[in-house]
Amino acid sequence: MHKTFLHLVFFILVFVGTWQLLGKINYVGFFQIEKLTKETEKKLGDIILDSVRKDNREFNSDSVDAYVENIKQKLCKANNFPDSSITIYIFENDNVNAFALPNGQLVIYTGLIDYCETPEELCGVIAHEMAHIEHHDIMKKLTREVGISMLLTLAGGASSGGIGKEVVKIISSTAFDREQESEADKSAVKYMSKAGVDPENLANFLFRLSREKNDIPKQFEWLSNHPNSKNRASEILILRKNENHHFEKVLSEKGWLAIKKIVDESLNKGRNHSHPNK
Amino acid sequence: MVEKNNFPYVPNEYESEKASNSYLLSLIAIMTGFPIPLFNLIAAVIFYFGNKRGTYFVRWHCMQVLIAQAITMIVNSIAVYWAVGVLVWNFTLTNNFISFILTVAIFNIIEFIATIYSAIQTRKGKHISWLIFGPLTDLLVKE
Repeated sequence: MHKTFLHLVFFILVFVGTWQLLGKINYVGFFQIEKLTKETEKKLGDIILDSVRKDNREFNSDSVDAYVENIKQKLCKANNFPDSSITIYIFENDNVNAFALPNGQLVIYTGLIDYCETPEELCGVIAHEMAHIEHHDIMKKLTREVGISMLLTLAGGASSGGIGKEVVKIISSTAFDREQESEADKSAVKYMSKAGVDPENLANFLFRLSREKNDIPKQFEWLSNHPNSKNRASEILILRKNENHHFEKVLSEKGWLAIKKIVDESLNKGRNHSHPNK
Repeated sequence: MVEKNNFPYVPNEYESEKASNSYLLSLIAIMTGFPIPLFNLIAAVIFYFGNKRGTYFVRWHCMQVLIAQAITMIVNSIAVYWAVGVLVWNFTLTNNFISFILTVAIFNIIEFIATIYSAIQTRKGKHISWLIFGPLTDLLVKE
């Protein structure tokens, strides 16, 4: 009995010892696996962004870009994220939507800026999307919905533009897992609180979105990839109780009104004349 | 990994064939069951219960195969779960994962070779007790 026990211990020790010994070799670094994965993600991000560009015109307004960039910087600085880890692109589109792409890229439609009543609400949506980026949810969703082989084909450039369009559709309108959403909300509450912005604004945004979706459901694309908004808003309010309560305005009200005016004018112009790229 | 031991009696031709078959069956199961490790264990369990009323030599070798397959299944299942996680669920690809897969592969190769060797030797009527699983089999199978 004693001998058998010693044999078993010996077996486990040999197994763990071999595992640990082989683990001393840096396979990931040697075969540059990490670099390959990052390069693939970067290529995918660029290809998908190009597909978004084909269907939407990039919004050209220095003041809107600067205002949104300031919100991002405030969130990044307070949460110790490198400023370069997230790049925001604003596109002319009246859909209320924002979505993250691979490689830390974040797309915001002007329809979303127009729909937000306060800059803090926009900050909440950006914080939520930043959480998806930080949690690597986009690649997880793409792997689940599209499959690794198709993603590698797309990243390799050997596919038609049709796949790129399909991937944009998946990213912008397919729901994340319930768990991923919940985790992103938790992180968004933390990011906002650390930046001194009240997370209640994100809850308000979600409540309003769920209440008004029945009027013009087609425009509320953000709801299709972020379902259960009402429940999530309630959970955000519960999470908020544990956070810092010294909140302030994210940016000046005057600046917000100015950019809202610019966006609103652009959207009205777009509604009157269908835009050339479409 | 493998050592020849004296057995209390000399097995006859029929017993040697049966004992050898238990090793061969686990080999076939490895080939057909891979990468689902459960098949190997199921094959070993079926063969063991099929020979439960067999002679001591046959029962002993069936049990050694069964123990080896049970431990292999545990280790292989962890490897398969981890690999699926990396490929499908986006687990991070780490040096720890690669070294675990290599370790499991090495142990599987050693077990594969030991199984072929044992199948040949038991067919000749020789008793083969594996270093780790043999003493455990001694405890579990009584004459």
